[in-house]
Amino acid sequence: MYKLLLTAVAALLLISSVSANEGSATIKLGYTAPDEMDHLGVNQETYNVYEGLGLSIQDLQYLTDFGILINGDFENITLNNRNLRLSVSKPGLFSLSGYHNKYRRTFDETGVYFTRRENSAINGTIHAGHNLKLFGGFFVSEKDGMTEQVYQPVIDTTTFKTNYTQFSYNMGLEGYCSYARVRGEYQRYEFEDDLNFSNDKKSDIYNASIYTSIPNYEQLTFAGGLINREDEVYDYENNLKTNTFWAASKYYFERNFTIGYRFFNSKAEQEQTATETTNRNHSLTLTKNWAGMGGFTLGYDFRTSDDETNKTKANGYIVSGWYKVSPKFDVKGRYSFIGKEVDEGSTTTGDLDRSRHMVSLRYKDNAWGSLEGKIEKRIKEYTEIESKADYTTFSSRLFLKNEDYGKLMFSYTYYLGKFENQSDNVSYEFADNVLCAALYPKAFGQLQFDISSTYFRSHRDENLEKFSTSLGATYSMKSGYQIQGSLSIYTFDDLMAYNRSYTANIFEINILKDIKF
Amino acid sequence: MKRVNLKNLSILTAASIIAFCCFSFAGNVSAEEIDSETCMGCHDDVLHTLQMTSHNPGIKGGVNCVDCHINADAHIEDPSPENIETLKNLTSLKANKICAPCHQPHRDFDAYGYDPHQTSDVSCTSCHNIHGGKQKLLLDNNAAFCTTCHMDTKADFMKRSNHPVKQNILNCLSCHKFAKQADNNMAYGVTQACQSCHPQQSGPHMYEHEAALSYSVEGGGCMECHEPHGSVNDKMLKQDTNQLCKSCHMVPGHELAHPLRNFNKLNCMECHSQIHGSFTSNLFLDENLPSKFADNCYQSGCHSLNK
Repeated sequence: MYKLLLTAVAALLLISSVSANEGSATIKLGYTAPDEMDHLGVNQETYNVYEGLGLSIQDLQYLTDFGILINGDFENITLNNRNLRLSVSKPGLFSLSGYHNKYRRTFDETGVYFTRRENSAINGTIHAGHNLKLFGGFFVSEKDGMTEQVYQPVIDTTTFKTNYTQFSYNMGLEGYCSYARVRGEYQRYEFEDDLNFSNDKKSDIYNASIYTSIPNYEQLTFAGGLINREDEVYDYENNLKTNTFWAASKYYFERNFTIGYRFFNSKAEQEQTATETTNRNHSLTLTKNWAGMGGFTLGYDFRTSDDETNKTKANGYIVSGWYKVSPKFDVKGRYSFIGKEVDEGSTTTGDLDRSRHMVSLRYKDNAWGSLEGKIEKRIKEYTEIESKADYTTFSSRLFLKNEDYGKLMFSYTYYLGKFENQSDNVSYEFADNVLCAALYPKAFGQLQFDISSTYFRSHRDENLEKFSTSLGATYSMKSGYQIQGSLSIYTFDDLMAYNRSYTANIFEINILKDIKF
Repeated sequence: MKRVNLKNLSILTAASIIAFCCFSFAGNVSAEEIDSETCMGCHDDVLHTLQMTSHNPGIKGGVNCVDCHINADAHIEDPSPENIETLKNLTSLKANKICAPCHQPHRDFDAYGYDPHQTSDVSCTSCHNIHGGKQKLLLDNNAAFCTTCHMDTKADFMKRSNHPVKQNILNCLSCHKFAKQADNNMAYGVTQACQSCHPQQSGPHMYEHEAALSYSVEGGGCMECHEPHGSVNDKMLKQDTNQLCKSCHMVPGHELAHPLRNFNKLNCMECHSQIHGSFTSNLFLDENLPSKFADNCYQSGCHSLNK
């Protein structure tokens, strides 16, 4: 696929060079040298790093005399972590874009068990008239390899093979004018499991939607849509039909009052067993804004679910607001709650109460930077089974800038999670600390440095420590060349498992050159 | 294999023809008196980047400077910066209204939800440079500008199990598709964003795990169990697998010491491997369970395979 994209770029450049207007790109050539130790399957950030010579064409922009634009980014063309993207368009007439990328995930200590995913896609749009465009696309994703699962605590290790292909295509049209948009689309998904054909399935989806306001009465807007979806699993001769209808409306009153309503109805039917499930949702919101100074939202949400054995209903509420205490200081808050009751039948979990709370403060001064803080709490409680989960997050951030020294960012986030089941006396807790810091000092002549670090520590029922730091330098020469060098260091330690440690030093050097043609 | 439903295709075709007729002949907005060449006389510095975009005033269907920069008459009389409106100087509500007539899907961002961007005074120009720059006029191709405000999310990506954002395979916009909030994403919610890369887990299934449905009363969809930005646990789970399951399911017998293994230490997913939904088991049991645990569970005579 990437060869196809490169050929396409070369062909387009060749054709366009006859009547070239102007174009630019950055060529990057470099070498990556990773030095890894211990367990290769624990540090996700370095799964996709490969040793070797890398060639990249970044930020390609080209405009022909015919007004055709070519944009592209081709990262690591010569390596297995390549990420290629190309688009060709003539604004107001057509656009064609495509991409291809690869990603590897490693599972075991030595790197023998890994999976690799390759994604490729092509999308196109044609403007058939001033107010109408046709669109379509094709997407294919392939994944294959071996995965290894270690059950915790270590009881046994199981390996699985993975090898599947998913592809989809879509086509449709969109009509629009200054006050409305209508869209119709057909999508087809197919999933093929090369190891177990009983997983093969396909879906056909028809989707139509409209969004409109009323001419000369723009206070009122409507939106709505229909989605018809049919899924088929070949091996089980199972068909599942889902019909979804949604509608929404919003009315803008004077003085920035807004009322919004939306409705959602989804019905899933299975032909073979003549069973069906219906989910329905109504929600109503009221919003008020004082231009640039503050605002609030009040909301109500009602949901029902009806399947062959159970009926449930849920009421939800939301209150949120923001207030600008001064031009530099603002406060935000939010509280939401949903209570679910089982009307008929008996679900596994029974009734549920769920709430979220959030308060944030921000002080921002264009002269020196900003200071922010946020605290958020989520509580989920199942009264019948006496189970409760409680999560708290605190995050803070300091950003400083100074013309003489540069920029400094520092952030700290604390997560506290606790689950307990009183009837069975079972509990689980974790407390995570994440520190981030980044420094971008003012350039010393033609030399620019950047330094960033993160530290992660998890306590209580987990015991993990992770550190990463990156040191980078860029030297810009008068000839237009740039030399970039970076050293990234990663460490990982699972202090509860003796063999789950990892250290890596990844050195990268690149030469960059901006070109115009 | 079942063929495409011809009835639905016919309805779609009819709708297409009606839409074509309605919109192809809709009237155009009249052009402003001041053309962009007048502006470029002084502001030729933005001409190069503008040419690379659909805002290019020199093409058919392009945008005139005065379409976005209102109050141009006064600025031509007295070209001081105070005499022209730039989007950066407007409140988000006013700035968005200038972009909205051409960019309907972005109108008020998510017009029907609870939109924190709008209430935080984030406007179109907070993320886009309307004079051009990167793809889709974004400030950068990798959506790194998002983490300027969302520092806590950036911190999440530092965790052990995460989506490959730092490696540039994905970026924020891969999942947060603001332009489509008025249709698909609104109906299917976050689960729809996940299923394009994770088809194995996507429904609908005959036996649905209610927590995995974004439109169910549980409300979470994939996010009910996973932290999409990053987690200390494998597979980006919010908690270690068994503890996560137990936050909803306290199953009698499963907490006791099993004669062969302690269930407390056995991964729920070993048996309930189809946890995202199943076509064969309402308990989401592994289809290969008989062969997987034949020696221990079935051939011992303790359990039957009837359910």
